[in-house]
This record gives sequence, C-alpha cells and structure tokens, in this order.
Amino acid sequence: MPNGVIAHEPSGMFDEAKLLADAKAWPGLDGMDLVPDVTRGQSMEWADKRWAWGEGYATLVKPEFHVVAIDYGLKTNILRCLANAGCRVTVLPATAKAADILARKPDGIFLSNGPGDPAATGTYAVPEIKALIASGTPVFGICLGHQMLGLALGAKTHKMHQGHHGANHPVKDHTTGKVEVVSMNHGFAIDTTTLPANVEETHVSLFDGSNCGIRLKGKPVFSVQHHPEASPGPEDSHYLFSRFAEFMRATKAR
Amino acid sequence: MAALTKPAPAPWSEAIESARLVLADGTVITGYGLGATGAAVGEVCFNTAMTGYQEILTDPSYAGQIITFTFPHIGNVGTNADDTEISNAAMRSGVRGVVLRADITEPSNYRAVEHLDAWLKSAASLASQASTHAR
Repeated sequence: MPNGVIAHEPSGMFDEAKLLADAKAWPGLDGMDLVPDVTRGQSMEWADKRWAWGEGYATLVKPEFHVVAIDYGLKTNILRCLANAGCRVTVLPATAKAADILARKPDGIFLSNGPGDPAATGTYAVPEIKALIASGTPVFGICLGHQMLGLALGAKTHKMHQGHHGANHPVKDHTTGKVEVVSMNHGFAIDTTTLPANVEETHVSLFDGSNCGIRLKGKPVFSVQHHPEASPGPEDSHYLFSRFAEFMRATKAR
Repeated sequence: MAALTKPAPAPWSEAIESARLVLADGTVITGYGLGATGAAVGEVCFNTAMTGYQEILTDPSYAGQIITFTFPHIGNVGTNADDTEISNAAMRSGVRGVVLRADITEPSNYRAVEHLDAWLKSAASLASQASTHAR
C-alpha cells in the first residue's frame, strides 16, 4: 500500500511540495517497531466480561484461570472475551521479561495484537516468547502476537501486497474442517513455506491461501492471524477462547 | 457610467477544499477536511467493513496507518465511550488519519453520545490527527 500524507487546513492553503517530500521521506512500515507508541507503561488487572443485554459489562466473579496478557497494542474486547472464557487477566507492557511473567505463575499467556513489523518488534519480544514457550505454559496469540509466535517457533514473516482489512473474510480451520467468517486486519503474514516441521498450519485464508493460524504440534501453544474478538463481529471464531481455556484446564489437571 | 463596485457576494457559499491526500508517487487527492487539523504521514490502507468504524479507528494495530473506509457512509450512528478498543489510556499514537467518501450525517442511534466529526477533533478520544473526506 502507498505511503502518503493526509492534511487538513481550513484555509485550503497547502504546501503540496512539502507534503510530497514528507510522504517520500517516510520509511514505511517494513522494519518499523510501532509497539512503543501503543503499549502500556504499567500493569493492569482485568475481569470485565463482554456486554450482555440487561447486564451491561458484568464482572467475572469466580475466575477459573489467571492469564497474563502482553500488551503490544491490546484491544479491550480481547480482555472481555478472555473474561467470558473464565480468565482474570493481568496485562503487562510489551517489554515484560519472561522471568517476571512466569513468576506470576499464570495458567496461560496471551500475546496481543498490535501495529507495525513483527520482525522489528520481535528483536526484543521474540526471545521472551521463546522462554515462555519453553516453560510449558499454554500460549495463545492474535495478530501481531501470532506473527511473533511464528518467529519464535522459527518461521519468517513478510509484508503483504495489500494485507487483509475487513470484516467478512472466510478462513478455514483445518483442525475441524469448518469455515468461519472473520474480521481481519493485518499487513504482514507468516510465510507458510518457512514453518518448521514441528509447527502445523491450523488456519488458512480462503481469499488468498495465506496463513491464518499455527500450532506447536502436541503442545498447548497456538495462535491466529484474524480477530476472534472482533466487535461488532463476526463472532464465528469465539471458540478459540474456549480452545485456550481447554488447553489451560488440561495443563492445570496434569 | 456607474462606478466600479465590488460585486455582491454570491447568495451561496462554496465549501473550501480544505484537505489533501498526497501519496509518495506524487498523486494528489483533494477533499474536504473534517476532524482535527494538521498533517500526518503514514501508510494508506483500507478497511472494507460496513460496521464498527469506531472500533476500527481505536484499534492500536492501525498505528502508522491512514485508513480509507471503502464503505461510503461512516459516522451515521455517532460515537460513544463503550466502543473504544484502546485498552491503554496513555497510548501515544494510533491511527494517523481517516479518508471517508460521504459527508457525516447527524448520528442516529440511541447509544450515540457524540458526532464522529467532534470525536475525531478531540485528542482525548483518539490519538489521531488529520482526517478528510474525498469527493
């Protein structure tokens, strides 16, 4: 997609040469780490559920799980969907260290969505994600979290021609054979051809065949490119939060 | 011969073309500004969703991007506090700009608290900058 400058000046007087120079000078998203612009500086606790008619945003009373979510640009509705799945959530900054996360003894770890190039943010996030995977704790990632989980597992990411940005994209879940209609928003993707042998592709876009989900074989570690939490929908992919809960339940029972 | 006088103002007013979208390849698209004033640089992307514009505009994943809505009617149910997706109130910068097709109508929804144009102007509701709509 092209880079550009958008300008609003009530007088209608513009220095278009300057605007063009600024557009040309901007380096573009490839290689850009934008997570520091959006991540939090302090931790936050969360237990509010999705909005329901007659209840509004009810608070989760008896949490079954404790999840640590790493905020790379976290959307609020993801937190609500996690609460609906029985999780109380501790949200930590993008720079959180694996040792600090694991010291909180979470039942699961969530890697959030976020902006920019996963390889750029991955320079500091991926080593921590590798340590989190090695701990055996269930891990679930969405969007940027999905891409960086892929990097941590040994795959590569690339910038897409136009990316996917919409709310009616068909995605197939290979594990069930079902097709779900999903909300999408990404300009980078995991290159399927670089997936190592111990990682399976679980979801694929039916628009262009690009990767939409991965799982570390035999482990409770998985992620999706699309947005199961999307508000105002579609809600076809809410089962992914249940899948995360099932992984946490199974791991706790061991 | 009558003295030259300043012509009477027209009984209508022409809207000033108060916005530009300048692409790196030199393309200049003229439009009418809305939301905040100023200039912002980013990748011009698109979103084809017909609903959920407030959630899209407050999704931190759009940092560094200018969103073009392909659906023409954006803003017709206004904005509210509940639909903001930003989970970090101290966030520095999300979406850089917005491109719309049609004039924003008066909000028509029981949940509407604010007009989209007013909401785009307020930095508190969005760490966004310039917006425009092209015609």
